[in-house]
Amino acid sequence: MKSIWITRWLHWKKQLISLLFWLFLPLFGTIIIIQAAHAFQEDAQIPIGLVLHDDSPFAQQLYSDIAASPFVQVQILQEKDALKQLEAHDLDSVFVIEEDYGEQIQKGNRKNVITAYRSDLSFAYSPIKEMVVSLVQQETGRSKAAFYVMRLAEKYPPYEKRWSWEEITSKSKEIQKEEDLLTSTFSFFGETKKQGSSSRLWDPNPWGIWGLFLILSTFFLFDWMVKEREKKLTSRFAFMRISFSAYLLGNAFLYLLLFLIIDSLSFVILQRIYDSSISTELFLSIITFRWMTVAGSFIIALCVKNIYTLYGTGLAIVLLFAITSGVILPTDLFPNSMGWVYTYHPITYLLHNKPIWNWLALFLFIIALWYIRKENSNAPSKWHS
Amino acid sequence: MLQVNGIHKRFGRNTVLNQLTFSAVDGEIIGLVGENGAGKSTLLKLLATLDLPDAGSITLEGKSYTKQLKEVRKRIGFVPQDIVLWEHFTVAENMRFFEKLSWTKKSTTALQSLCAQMKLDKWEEKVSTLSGGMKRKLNLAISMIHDPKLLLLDEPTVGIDLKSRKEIGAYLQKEAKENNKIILYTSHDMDEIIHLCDRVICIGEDQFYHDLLIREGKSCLLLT
Ligand SMILES: Nc1ncnc2c1ncn2[C@@H]1O[C@H](COP(=O)(O)OP(=O)(O)O)[C@@H](O)[C@H]1O
Ligand SMILES: [Mg+2]
Repeated sequence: MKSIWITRWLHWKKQLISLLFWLFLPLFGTIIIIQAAHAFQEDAQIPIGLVLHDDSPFAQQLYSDIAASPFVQVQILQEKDALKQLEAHDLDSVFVIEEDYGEQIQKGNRKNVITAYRSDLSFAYSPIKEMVVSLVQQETGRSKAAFYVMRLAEKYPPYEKRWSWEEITSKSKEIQKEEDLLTSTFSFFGETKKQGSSSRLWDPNPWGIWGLFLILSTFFLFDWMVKEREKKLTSRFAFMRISFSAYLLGNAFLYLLLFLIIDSLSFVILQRIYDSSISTELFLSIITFRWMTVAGSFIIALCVKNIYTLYGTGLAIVLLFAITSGVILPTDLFPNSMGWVYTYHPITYLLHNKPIWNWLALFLFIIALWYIRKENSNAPSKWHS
Repeated sequence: MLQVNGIHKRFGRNTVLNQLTFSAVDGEIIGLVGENGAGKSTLLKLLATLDLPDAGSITLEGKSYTKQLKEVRKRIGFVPQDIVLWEHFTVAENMRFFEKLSWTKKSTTALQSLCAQMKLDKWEEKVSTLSGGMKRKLNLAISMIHDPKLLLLDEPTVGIDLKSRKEIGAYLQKEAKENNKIILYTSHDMDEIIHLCDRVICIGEDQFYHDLLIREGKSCLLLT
């Protein structure tokens, strides 16, 4: 192994820059894509101003409901500033929550609780107004219902428990949340995303993006195998201590080690940026995913004769996975009958933080068969024919 | 001692070698001549274990080509017709690369002196900047790293300058005479063959093999 390491190092030091580029592509590619997605989203959000004259929990609730919408970007402002910014067209529209908002809502009254302002350039005023109105309506509806329930309870005293207004409305919210969850999981084959936690239109999973980049970079870095098989090295390896197949395997293993070092680093960095907890499941998933990709690239590099075929195959696989994995396109574009695709999809394992033993075992089995056949054949190896 | 007994090789219907028998003793340089397509490269590949004969047997120092393949291969140095080098490596790096994978460990000094023996002194130069003659020498030097008993060369001097040819020739002669190597090589240059070789095996289109003995660089004695 040490001699293979020295021979590989002779190659690596000649191409350090491109080696480092491809090694770090998954890490930097993921960060760039995710940041770009977030930045694009922020640009696409419509800036609105909110003026809170009321500090009741109802007003706070309305604010957080509006802020949770992926389409708007809300700023809390003083009325004077808000109107000034509206005039300067820095804001699309301004909504003023009046002093007695909370009181009126509790009474189930939704007239004149909010004042809205628009400028001559407001293009999203109507839909945003509709959204705010519907949020207020929802709140007043809930409140009305609560009073109705309370009145019913008063009318029929046998009820032991007296429900308060707060209890009823919070129960109502709870039920609503549960229903939301129910409807949204239907559209996903696996619960790959934490539903409702995201306030973004498109929030790709960093590990999904990373997995796609990883496949690409592994394939591109495995061109050494095609180049060295193409070179008529076998006529030399016949007379060497290390067989050509052992040489290829040894080198692939060195690449794997190098990859795993980079992956551990990427794991720590990406976890820091996108998630605070370090999970061993995810780490194992990443390691097996990389191992599987290396084994897969090894097999394909054994089959192709031309580096461009290898690059093309890598790109095609990444493209296919990008479309089918649900990382970039939502999975509900595909019919339910194709659910099995996701069950065995390598990227799915990564998204679910599961180790990918089955694919890895299959690829290693194929490589073992190839190696045993090569080593046992006493006949001169014919690599090029 | 190399012994070749009645080997036979054909590709489809094309019989290339038919009942070829000869032997070579230590310290002997044998030239292989013949028309293009006569089967010189085919014979070298069989002797290098890179292809199998359809019939017949070969032994090197008593080791069978079929039963003791590994032992045989340790004793063979094969200089391929194509130049198999890392173009973007220096001479030193090429030598180091193949030494690491070879049967014998050699120090940098030993590797450097191996190159120097065939007047390849551009140790730190990139292969891509070397002349054709220098590349041929390096191609040969790499095949000599593990000190093979039998050295097989396929047109080692084709298309290179006269000076390099002479230097390679002198090196081969020294290896045969001083280190008792058995050397077989093919060439189109009859002058070179007569000057360098102890014997010539001529592979004719009629698949008759003429084994010639060369003495004192000029007069030939027909053996078969
Ligand atoms: N791998 C092969 N498959 C089929 N025919 C071959 C193969 N190698 C050589 N031959 C044929 O064998 C004959 C001898 O070839 P070769 O040994 O290369 O000749 P030389 O080296 O003397 O010019 C040629 O007719 C060639 O076409
Ligand atoms: Mg030839």
